[in-house]
Amino acid sequence: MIKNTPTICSFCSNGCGMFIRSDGKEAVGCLPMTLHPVSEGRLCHRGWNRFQNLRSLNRLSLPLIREGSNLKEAAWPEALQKTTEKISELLSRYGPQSIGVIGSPWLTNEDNYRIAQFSLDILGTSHLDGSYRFSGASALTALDRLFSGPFGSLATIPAIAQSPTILVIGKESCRDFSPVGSRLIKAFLHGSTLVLADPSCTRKEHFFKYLLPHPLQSLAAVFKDKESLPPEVSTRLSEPGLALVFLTDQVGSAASLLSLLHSLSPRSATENHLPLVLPLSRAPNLKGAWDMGIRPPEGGLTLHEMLGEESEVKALLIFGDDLLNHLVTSSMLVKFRNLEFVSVADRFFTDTARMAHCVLPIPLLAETEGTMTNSEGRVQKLRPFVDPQGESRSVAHILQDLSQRMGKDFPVLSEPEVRVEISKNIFPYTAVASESDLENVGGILLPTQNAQLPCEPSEAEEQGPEGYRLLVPNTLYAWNRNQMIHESPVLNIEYPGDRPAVRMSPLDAKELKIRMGEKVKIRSDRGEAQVPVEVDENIPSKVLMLSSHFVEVVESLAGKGERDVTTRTLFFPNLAVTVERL
Amino acid sequence: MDNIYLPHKAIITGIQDETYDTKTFEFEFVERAVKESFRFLPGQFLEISVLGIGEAPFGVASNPNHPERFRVTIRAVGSVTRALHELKTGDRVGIRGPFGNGFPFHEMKGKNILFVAGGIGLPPLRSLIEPMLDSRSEFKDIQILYGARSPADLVYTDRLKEWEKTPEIRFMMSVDAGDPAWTGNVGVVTTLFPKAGLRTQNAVAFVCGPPVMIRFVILELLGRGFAPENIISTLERYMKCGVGKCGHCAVGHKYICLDGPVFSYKDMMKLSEKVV
Amino acid sequence: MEQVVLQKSNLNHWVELMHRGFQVVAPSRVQGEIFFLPHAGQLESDLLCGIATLPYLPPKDIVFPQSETLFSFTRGAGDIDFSVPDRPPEKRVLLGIRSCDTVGLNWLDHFYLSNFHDFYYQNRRDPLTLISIACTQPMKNCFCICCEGGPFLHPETTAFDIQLVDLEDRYLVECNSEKGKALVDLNRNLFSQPDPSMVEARDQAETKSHTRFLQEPTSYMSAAIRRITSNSVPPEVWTELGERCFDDGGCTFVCPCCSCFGVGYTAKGETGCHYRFWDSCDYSGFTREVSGHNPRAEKGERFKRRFFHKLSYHYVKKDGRIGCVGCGRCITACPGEVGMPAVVERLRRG
Repeated sequence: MIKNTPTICSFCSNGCGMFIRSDGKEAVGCLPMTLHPVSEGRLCHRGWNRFQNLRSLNRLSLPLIREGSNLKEAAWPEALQKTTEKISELLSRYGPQSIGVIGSPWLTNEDNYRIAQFSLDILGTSHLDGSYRFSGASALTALDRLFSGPFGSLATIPAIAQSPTILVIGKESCRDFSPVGSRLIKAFLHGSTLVLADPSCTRKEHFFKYLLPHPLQSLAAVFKDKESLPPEVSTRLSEPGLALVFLTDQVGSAASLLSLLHSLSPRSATENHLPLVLPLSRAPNLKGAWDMGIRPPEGGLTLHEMLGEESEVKALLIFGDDLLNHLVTSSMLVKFRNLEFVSVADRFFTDTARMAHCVLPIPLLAETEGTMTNSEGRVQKLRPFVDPQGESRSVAHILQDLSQRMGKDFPVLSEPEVRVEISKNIFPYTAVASESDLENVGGILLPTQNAQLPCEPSEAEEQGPEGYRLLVPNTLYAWNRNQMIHESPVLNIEYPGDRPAVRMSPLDAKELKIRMGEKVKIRSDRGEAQVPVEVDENIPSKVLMLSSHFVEVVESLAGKGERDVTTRTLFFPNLAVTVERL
Repeated sequence: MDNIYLPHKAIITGIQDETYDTKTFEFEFVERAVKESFRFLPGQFLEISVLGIGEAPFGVASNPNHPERFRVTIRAVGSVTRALHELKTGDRVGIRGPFGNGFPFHEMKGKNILFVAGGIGLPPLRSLIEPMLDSRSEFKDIQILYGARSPADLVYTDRLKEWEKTPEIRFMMSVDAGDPAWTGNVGVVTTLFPKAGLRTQNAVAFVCGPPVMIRFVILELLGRGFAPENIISTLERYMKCGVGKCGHCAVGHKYICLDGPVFSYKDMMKLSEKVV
Repeated sequence: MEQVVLQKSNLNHWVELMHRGFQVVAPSRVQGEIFFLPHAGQLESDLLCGIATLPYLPPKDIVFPQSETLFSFTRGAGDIDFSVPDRPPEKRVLLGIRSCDTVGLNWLDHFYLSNFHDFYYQNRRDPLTLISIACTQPMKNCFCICCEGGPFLHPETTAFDIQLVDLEDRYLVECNSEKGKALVDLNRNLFSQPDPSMVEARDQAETKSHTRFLQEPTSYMSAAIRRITSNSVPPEVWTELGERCFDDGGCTFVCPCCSCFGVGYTAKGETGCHYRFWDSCDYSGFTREVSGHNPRAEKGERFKRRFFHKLSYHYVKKDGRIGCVGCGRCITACPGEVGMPAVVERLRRG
């Protein structure tokens, strides 16, 4: 009969407890856990359909080695040997700083920890980072600043339901994360005040009391200038028990989040009243990968810098990430394509794998034992429902093998053994050494420390002039670009692909006399582009929306984007633009 | 017990290019027992699967009086139809069916018949036109009005030429936009109505085509005196099983695959959701 | 309908006898959750008494599983070979399902075995014998009494094999079919004839049960049925309800009367399979056509559609009853707190 394996859904940072149901080696279904603090007997449509991508036959079964324009199947020894030879060659010609290593928020804590160790101890390179550099690192950097280092749990999802006031930034933070949405609705039904801040909505759902048409980066200034707010909002936002919910990949600069948090935390000499903060992500282990050290130590380059014009990096070893689809400018794509050597360890034949020189199959998250840290700072164990299929090998074995071939020792430790290491070396993961605590439904909540609020808020973004405002939401981690989604028949239809087009309100389209599909010329102070228009009645007047992953169009309008010096990354801010019919 | 979800093997016995994105496939069932017992009504559809890729519903476009080989006209728009277009004569597919309620046939005897087809709406109507021509004397006037976006979008061009010539039917065509070689009517198919000399008494109209076209044609026909129960069309919805179980094609309390796809306009208005 | 009496102390013995010809599936706790699992060892008697308890999924999961392979295929030498998975070999007894779930299975039987017979459903349904336990005490979220879904089954309206009525130290065993009788025939000595006082006790138990169930928050379905059938619910109400819906599909998956499915296709090299899985009309892609056109693009429209299917009189006529048995699972599964009772209440308010 059907076996029910208790594990954690690994689509997003909610970390819902669920059972993967299997019949022999085949995944046949999913069920939510009724007793889990996040899922509480519910799942979202991704979670309910998680089993489908586990049935896909498209996963990589054997290593692949590039021969000219083709990738050919090869045996493991050959693939590992090829990789080692290339690495050794680069090390001897250019030194360790010619190699960059990419960990992933789609890998477990243990695997990321191993990758960090491998980079530093075996390869000797400090160019270590993750694709979240462009999709979440700014938020995590800001929070690190607040706590002068790694931070623990800043809020639990169940606690949100008790907050008298909840500020939700971005409609997607509620819509796309149903455990959070569910607590918002519970709070609403008990009389809490819900405030939505989103410049791209005309209408708020009925359970939000207020809609603030401002993006995250403008909110600090808006809250300061109390004139522009309904009076009740100001009062409520400064009361204790406030909860803040936002999507990390929509935070452009660390300063903008710090500003916002400062404006929401009433200052007093003795205490810090930081609100409950829930940083959400469409990657399941954003916080875990970050905490495990997948970021450059002193002297190392961030991913942005690794793929910069003058970078010394000539090769990338990529683990568990479809990196090509997570890069934010076309010049980075060009640099990536011109690298001397790219190795990819992944589960499916992604676009990145297609470009690689060597591809190594690793087990699915559903075949892995290991932990992940969700947006609540909750560390939870994944449990495999089946042994790794095909010829896939674990990251641990791959790293050991590569090390051995380079004449070094990198022992394969079991997951519990790695957790002991983590508990010793990574604050605040001390408690993960306790296997019995991890066995509890709901895992381990990382301890919370006191926040050190910054002395003064940084300059907030200026309000744009009259005219059109072009919003460029960060869509690198959008679901319709996620391979796990593509491998599921239902989810693939739920998240249809989008075309390079700018979305515009029907009122503006009428005024400009533009019909669906026709092109418009959009001009900013940094450039211009001709883009087709899609009419969307959910968009307010004088607002245009363009997904950031259409990099060429975004770049022609926004130039090189904006650097965030703190996070050492790049983002595309919202722009003041003019629009004319062609 | 019959397994309604298990396809029968069928082999492609011929492929005809109709337009730049449309082909007509001719099929024959592989198993003799199936081939010999296969029958379908005009207007019914088949669920054709490219194994491992997907399955989709297609109206049968050939004459039910010759069921041993049957034809389906397919435009490449999605993953299944694109996969079908990659296949060659001799390749095998899976076919389930026929499903659906089909067009009324015997009840039409003794009446004036009008066919109004738009673009890819002609293929399913052809499964009704051909047997009517086989029993021509049982019907009164038969008129076909056919419209397409452009001359390059016309299907069955050889058959159309025959229809233009034969005295058995009155046939007119129109294109939304012509090309240098086009000498015929230019305009949407409703522009043919004033010139068509429609028989509106004791008449039934069969309308097939894109939803927008159906809406306008029905308005025209009502305006010219056709009663709602005498305007017959087809409803389309995303379909999966074809047998009224998967739920995708439900409209109101009807299933398009069981109670349709053929509906009179009168029945369409009774459905609890707006359909046309 | 035959009535016999079984002492509760003989239940294990009876189940042992069943093991000879059947796989016995009974409720058991695993990590605090209740699953229906092949029975081995001790029966959990507190899950087999009059106090209502429900596994997360209804038994529809056994006859219409969350996903199942329709057929696999192999291509070779220009030909294709199809292979349908083997039928479940054993006969099974589902011991300890509840009235609501039995009514739900009736609904599914009517749906899947009418018009075209569903081959896979039939294969899983035929070898099943159902032993349902009448509920004398509701649990949180029960509203079967508002939906003619319980708490006791009646042979005039519902087909069942056996109904057990909890009479403290014994069960009254009500056999309503040949399959049920066959189980009792395994050993008639385990059973005794009921005396009049026992039948009296059974009727009292039902009356008391009704009283208790009516004390729970009730759901007045008829107003909702009327408003939905006459299409007199203002569109703003559906929009508002749609805003509370997260398109997760949870309600459809846990509902004993939901039956929609999608089909997936896998292939690698020369082999592959076509499989079906639970699908949900909540999903935006449910009716989206290849052209991109979607007749139910708005969430409010999808929400309205689902409740039309559940409650409109058109469907009641077709299916013989409303598409809800009052099990309360949708209340647990819904993130937006718009399960059946909440919606019915909202529709009543207008």
